[in-house]
Amino acid sequence: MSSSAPVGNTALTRFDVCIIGSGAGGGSAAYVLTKAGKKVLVLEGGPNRFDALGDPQQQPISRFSPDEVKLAYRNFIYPDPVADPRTWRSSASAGDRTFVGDVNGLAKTVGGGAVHADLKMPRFMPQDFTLGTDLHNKPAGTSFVDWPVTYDMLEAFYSYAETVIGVQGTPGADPFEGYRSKPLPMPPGLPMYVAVKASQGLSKLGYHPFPYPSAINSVAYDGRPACQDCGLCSGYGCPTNAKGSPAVTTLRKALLSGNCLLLPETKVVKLLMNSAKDTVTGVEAIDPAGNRQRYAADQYVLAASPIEDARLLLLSDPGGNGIGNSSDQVGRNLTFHLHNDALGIFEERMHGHRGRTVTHAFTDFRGTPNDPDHPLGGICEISGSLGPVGEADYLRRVFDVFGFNGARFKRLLREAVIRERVMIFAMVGEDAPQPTNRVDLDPAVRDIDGIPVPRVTYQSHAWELAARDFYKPKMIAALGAAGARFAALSPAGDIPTTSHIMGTLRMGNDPRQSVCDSTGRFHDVGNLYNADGALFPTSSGFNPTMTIMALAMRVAAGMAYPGAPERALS
Amino acid sequence: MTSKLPLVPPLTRRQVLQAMGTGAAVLVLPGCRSHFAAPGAPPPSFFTATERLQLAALADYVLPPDDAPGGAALGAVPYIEKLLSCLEHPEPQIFLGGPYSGRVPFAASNGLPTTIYPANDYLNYEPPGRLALKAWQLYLLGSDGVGGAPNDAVLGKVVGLRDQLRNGLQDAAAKSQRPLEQLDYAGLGELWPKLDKAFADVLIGLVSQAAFGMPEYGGNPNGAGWAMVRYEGDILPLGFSFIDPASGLPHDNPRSPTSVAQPGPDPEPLSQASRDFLRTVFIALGGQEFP
Repeated sequence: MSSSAPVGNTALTRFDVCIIGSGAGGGSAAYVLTKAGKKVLVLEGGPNRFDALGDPQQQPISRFSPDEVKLAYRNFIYPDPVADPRTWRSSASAGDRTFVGDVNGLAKTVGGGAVHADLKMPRFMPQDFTLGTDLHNKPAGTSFVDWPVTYDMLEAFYSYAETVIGVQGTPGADPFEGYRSKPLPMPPGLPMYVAVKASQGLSKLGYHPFPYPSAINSVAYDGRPACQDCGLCSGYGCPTNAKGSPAVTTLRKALLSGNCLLLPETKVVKLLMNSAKDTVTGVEAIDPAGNRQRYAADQYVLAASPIEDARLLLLSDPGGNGIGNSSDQVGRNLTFHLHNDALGIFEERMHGHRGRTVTHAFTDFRGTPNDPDHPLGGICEISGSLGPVGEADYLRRVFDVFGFNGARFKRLLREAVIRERVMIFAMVGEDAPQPTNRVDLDPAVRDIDGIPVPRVTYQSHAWELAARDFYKPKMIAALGAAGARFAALSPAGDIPTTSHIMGTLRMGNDPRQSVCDSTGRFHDVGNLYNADGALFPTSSGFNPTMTIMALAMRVAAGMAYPGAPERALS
Repeated sequence: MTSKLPLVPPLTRRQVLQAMGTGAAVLVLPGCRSHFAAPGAPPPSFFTATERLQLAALADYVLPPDDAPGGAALGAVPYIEKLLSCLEHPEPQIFLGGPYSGRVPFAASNGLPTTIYPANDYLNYEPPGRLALKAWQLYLLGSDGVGGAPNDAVLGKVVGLRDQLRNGLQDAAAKSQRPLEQLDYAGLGELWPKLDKAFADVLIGLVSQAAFGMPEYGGNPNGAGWAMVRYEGDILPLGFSFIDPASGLPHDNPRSPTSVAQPGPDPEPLSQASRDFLRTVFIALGGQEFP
């Protein structure tokens, strides 16, 4: 099987749109555009790990497997941290860099980061779109602004995306969620036992656990089977296609339309511009054989994830400020989520390595603007654990502090202290956007192709650290109420590792303070759009993938039907 | 399906290495249908005989043999050697195929195992692709082995894994008062804190991957590592849940449920020693113990 062979309609030679990236955003854009009859070329830098992805006669054959070594330790779909590194520093005053390696690594593969995710798909809340207006006394150094789109404008696309990819859950079970115009297409799957026990404790304290909306089939849906709860979900591609990653949903539908050609292992390294730099004339890429090729279309969509998007714009303007950057906002306002993980260890075995990694959540810690008794935090995931290789790796890091002892290590593994006895509350804490948190090009470090790597300058703001400190005792108390023997907040390092990456090309109505407008089009470049989380002006306190997909579909719908994007919903 | 593989009888380090030398690296458990691939031709080698003994000794410190196999018996040496040699095949042997190993059957309509098994996709390896191949060459061989890496002048040369392990073993041997393979657990415990930290970390990781990874990578013989920690292994296509044909809704695998407690007593409860260690860890983290 070839990981680089073209997929889809190889007879296509002329394209209306070229999409860079095949993940949550790129796949969504490809689906909407091809459905509208546009001819679409998708360029993906990573490998294709599916056979028959574009074959209408059969379901795709996944080459993923519940193999910890392959996925978590041999970089089957992850960039290699030495050959494809990023660099990090906390601030410009820290020097050129203080770390080289894995910084916010996202899977680079057909289907993008959504292939490895466990596809938790909550929507943002209506309040998340208007913090510029609603948040008083904004902390110094932050750049909270309103989104140029509201929840109301996005709602129909949320519902549409949920149906296209298949999302399970129980509408209304989260008392804090926004309104919805349509039900979810699938009921929730089996709860993990960890979630059952957690929910008992949370309910005792007056919190409101609910089944996490997830793009994982609880029943057969759209020709794909129901999930079998194999346990290796978060961080793993799905062996059975029960998980609705973009590869087997939006992208596959685009490929089956006959209007799409996908070129895997085709690494875009430059946007080619006209002399005024206000129009993209083509892209330059390194093909699977290592040769430089050029591709052209009428319009272009950047959907390579925020860090790579910014990198490409900067690479395309050597010596300049970056394509589309009259605002000086390209690369800035990079946000993540401050993941606050509270761990509980139980006497009872809870087999948290079975199930979909996370089946339940509670939103009681998302908070309300300006309410000191409920500061803005985020949704709390109720999580299980890892396989034994991951468990061993976790324990190794614990022993870094306490000194390694083989006999103790083995005993802890045999008693499955982490794998079977852990319950995790992971709060997806909102990041304050800061202009100084940004992506640029490292001045010296290169990837294995000799191309400048992205440099991430990032540090948390006191604002989100305060929310973490506020909710920490509550999370620990909740673990105790659920029956934990021991509970603590897991220490976080300085180097960002989250896969929730947002900002760098924030959308807004003012071209002086934003990169893209409310349709996702670059203010400065008439035929260039963004369709991923780079558009997000703020990060909210929820997993971003559902909003990425809804927004990307809306962007593509506006490209297909200018001024009337709702036509794409029919 | 709960794992019914019995624990592998404890073997000495020398017995394991003798078995490897004859190609009989697979420990076949009596009374159990074996779905584990028999070894073929001797694989490419990297270590010297002495290095294998040293590595086995250190693996037996990471996971000491007791009433359950140690790191050496759980295949640390063949796993690591296979990893270091993975590019020396017509098709690089980095990533096992998928989705299924063929070890586990499909589920019946009641969620119990059938006698129908899928094809074994683990017989094939997935291709690495252009960038991944370059990355693995650099990872294993280092800057000197690939004619230089892009960041050598800025960050220093990349030391390949082969050299990391070889140098680490030499360093360990130099720091030991006696040959490594003659050290008992206490002696290894005295040596361990003196090891290069990066080498020690790599070793723990590789021994763990060997013990608990897919057996096709060279370790975890016949699933002995999984059996030791009571892990079900690769559970597909059976799964931990199934769709009930009557309701069309998901149900727990009756033997290994997802949403309810596992039937039966805890096979290896939390020990007081573990409890004491966890108390130390959690209090140090600013956490809490609940009665």
